Amino acid sequence: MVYYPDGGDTGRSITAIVNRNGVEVIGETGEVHARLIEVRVRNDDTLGISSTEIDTGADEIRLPLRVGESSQRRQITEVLSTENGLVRFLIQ
Amino acid sequence: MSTAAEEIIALELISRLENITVLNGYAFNVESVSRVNRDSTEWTPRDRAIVVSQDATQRNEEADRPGNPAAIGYTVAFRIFGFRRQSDRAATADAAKVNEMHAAIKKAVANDTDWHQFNRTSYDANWGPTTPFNSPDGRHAGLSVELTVHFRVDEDDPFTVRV
Repeated sequence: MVYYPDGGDTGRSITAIVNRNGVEVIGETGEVHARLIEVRVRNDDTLGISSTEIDTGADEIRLPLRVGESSQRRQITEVLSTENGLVRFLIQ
Repeated sequence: MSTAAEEIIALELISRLENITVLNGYAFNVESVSRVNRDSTEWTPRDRAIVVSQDATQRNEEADRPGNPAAIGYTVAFRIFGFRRQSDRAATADAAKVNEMHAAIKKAVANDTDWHQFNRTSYDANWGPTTPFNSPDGRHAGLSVELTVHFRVDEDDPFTVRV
């Protein structure tokens, strides 16, 4: 996958473990659907994403929504944990 | 095939919201205006994204008009969701950005003295409640704005608008 800091045009390729968890309703809206994809990467600003650089207000990831499909950019929306050398986060 | 009255109104509503740009005098450029499908393949919740959803179309018998065919009154409700997702390092309050978006949405939709007619499709429109939201998990901040639009169509042809 490709990580785009600040949602910019320049990204860096990183390796990740991805769980594609389908779709959820964004609770506050009661009706708007969003994808729910959990990603784990190395806590590293070269090989993965550093816990000090990740920004859930702007950063994006390019990945296929289904294995084998073409990639598209998605917003990082929540950091779930930054322990054990990994950064675990959600993209929608 | 003609376009259904609700669809004409929805497309006009989206078109007006897409006019929220710095070039048009607003404080920000809207990121996107979307109608989200059930599998959400085409949309991701970026800062300044707007989602338009359509609720039930209700009968409004008081708005019926005689004729052959009769004109039948309906009310359709839309909810406009505005997402504000500032940087984790932002110093500005989310509420300030949400207020900014609220004003922009209303100014863009009520863009003229006959804004309530939605491309000569409806005879009235009213704003409903505005509700800010903040996810307990910190994922999203934003607001929803309700808009009800009243229109009439032929009793035997819902594609034919009767203003």
